[in-house]
Amino acid sequence: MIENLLQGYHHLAVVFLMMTGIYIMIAYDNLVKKLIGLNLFQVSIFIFFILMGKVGGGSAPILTPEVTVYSNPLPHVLILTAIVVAVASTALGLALAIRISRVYGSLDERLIGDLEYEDD
Amino acid sequence: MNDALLLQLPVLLVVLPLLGAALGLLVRDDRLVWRMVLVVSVAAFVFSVALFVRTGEGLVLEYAIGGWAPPWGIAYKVAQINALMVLMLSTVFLGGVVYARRSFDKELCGRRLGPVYSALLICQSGFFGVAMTDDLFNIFVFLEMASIAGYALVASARAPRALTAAYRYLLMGTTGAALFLLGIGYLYLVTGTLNLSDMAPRLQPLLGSPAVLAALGFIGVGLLLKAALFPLHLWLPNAYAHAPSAIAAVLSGTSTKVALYVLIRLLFEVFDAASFPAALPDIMLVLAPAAIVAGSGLAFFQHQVKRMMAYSSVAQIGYIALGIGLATQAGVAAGLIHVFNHAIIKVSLFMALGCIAYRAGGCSLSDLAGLSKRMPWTAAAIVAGVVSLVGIPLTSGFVSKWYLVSAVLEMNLWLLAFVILAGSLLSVAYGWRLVEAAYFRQSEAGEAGEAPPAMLLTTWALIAVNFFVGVNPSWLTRACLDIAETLLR
Repeated sequence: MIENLLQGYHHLAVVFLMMTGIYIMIAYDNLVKKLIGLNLFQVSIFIFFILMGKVGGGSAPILTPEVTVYSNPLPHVLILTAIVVAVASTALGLALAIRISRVYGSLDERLIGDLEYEDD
Repeated sequence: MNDALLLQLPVLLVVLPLLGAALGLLVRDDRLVWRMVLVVSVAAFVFSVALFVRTGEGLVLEYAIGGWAPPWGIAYKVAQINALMVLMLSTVFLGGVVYARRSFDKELCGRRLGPVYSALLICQSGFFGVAMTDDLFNIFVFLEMASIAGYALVASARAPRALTAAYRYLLMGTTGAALFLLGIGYLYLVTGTLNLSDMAPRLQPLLGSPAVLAALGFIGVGLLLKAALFPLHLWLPNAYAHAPSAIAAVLSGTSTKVALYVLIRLLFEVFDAASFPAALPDIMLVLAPAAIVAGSGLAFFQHQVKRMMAYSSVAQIGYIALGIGLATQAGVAAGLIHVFNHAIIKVSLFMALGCIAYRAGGCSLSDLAGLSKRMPWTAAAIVAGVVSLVGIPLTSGFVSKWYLVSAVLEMNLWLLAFVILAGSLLSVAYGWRLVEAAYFRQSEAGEAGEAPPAMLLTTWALIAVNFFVGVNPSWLTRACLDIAETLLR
């Protein structure tokens, strides 16, 4: 049992990062901190993908006569695309946070919620 | 249409709007940008009709991007289900673009519209991509492309509320997409492929293994979050209520529907949920009645009419999820029929509300008072939308409810049939509040006058489609039954 856990220690790191990200998104009221949590959550999934491409004893996927076992490059390529997607959504999220702070004078979700409630 | 050209249509549907989006950023003249967007949307509509007609004859189009053969390269595959989705999307987008010009002039005045139209085209391209690609990772990328453009479109409204609504939509939508990506990771890990047609047979012997169940769980939660199935609907009411009217109309007919379409394809094509007992359809069968009752109930208590319609969408998504959750041919067909019908109904309703906002400046129940005197055609449009939501015969809403109730009764699930009827009664209740305000409440405020003809005519064009389906449903129902049969084989 413990041996199994230790063998998958990198996956434990992924789970730890993921839970940290979700916790930050839920527990913090600051809009920028929520985005940081979202980013951690996304990055943990990227690491999960990158880990799965590793083949034990495999070398970098460049064709050379001496090497027969290669790591799988596809997950890495996928994650390059996913990183671009994540950057786009983070950029949009930060842009929204800036405009929200200009309009409401705050980045605190609870405070903004109270201001909106008074409007009604 | 000749076959060589037909073969290029899938990729053209994705590339044309993308090129248009790039042009939209470069051109400074808003009128010119709108004309270009209109040309692209009309072309997309014509292409989608051609695809729908030809795939209806049993044709399946395959296009290998860059000439790389399918299991390795990215392939687009257009069969009947893809063509139906593309037809629905292009109808909604064409209507939205025609409607948007005058609506944007009023609601976004003083803002440069080029980027807004660009985002609309990116959104369109992304949804077309999701509908036609046969590659799982490609679905994720297109879904995110469309969603990110969608968040920006919601935020383009002038009201500060739109910003917080878009922020919340972004946070929840991106979380859903990340969970979906995690599920894709598990599927790739066990099958070693991302091509859907290639994955299904490889997954067959592995169904029920913990990794596949984890994949199903993550994909299910991620997509249901994007589809806003109760209780994952929290982003939806504010996003639709505060977005510009034309954007609320377009998104209400596309974003949630596309997520449900992906879920249908994965559940039945890949996970084989019809013959292999998976927990997800059963969970949807529990959440769907809750969505119908809670959505319709919450709609009744809203004063802001766009919010009321947003909660009504939550309920209608419940009907679609109910059909999918049955996991029978009749159920899935009913779900698909309602995907199409609800898109048409809800878009026309949001457009009618946009007409009211154009004249009255707002869209609360008090703005509707005396509407039948001031704007008789808009008031009639709202009545037409409401009776379709309720499911009166001769409307498309009746067609979906008929197929849904018969699918439920086929399984002897009387309680669910009762919930569907109760949901209809609840929609009479909130719909009546609109009709009562428009026809029986007097108001001296505001002068008589309809919204510009372009807006009103688009609204009525969609209502015409709605009644056309209601009177002559066989083309849609036959297509959906065929699709369901292929999916569940």
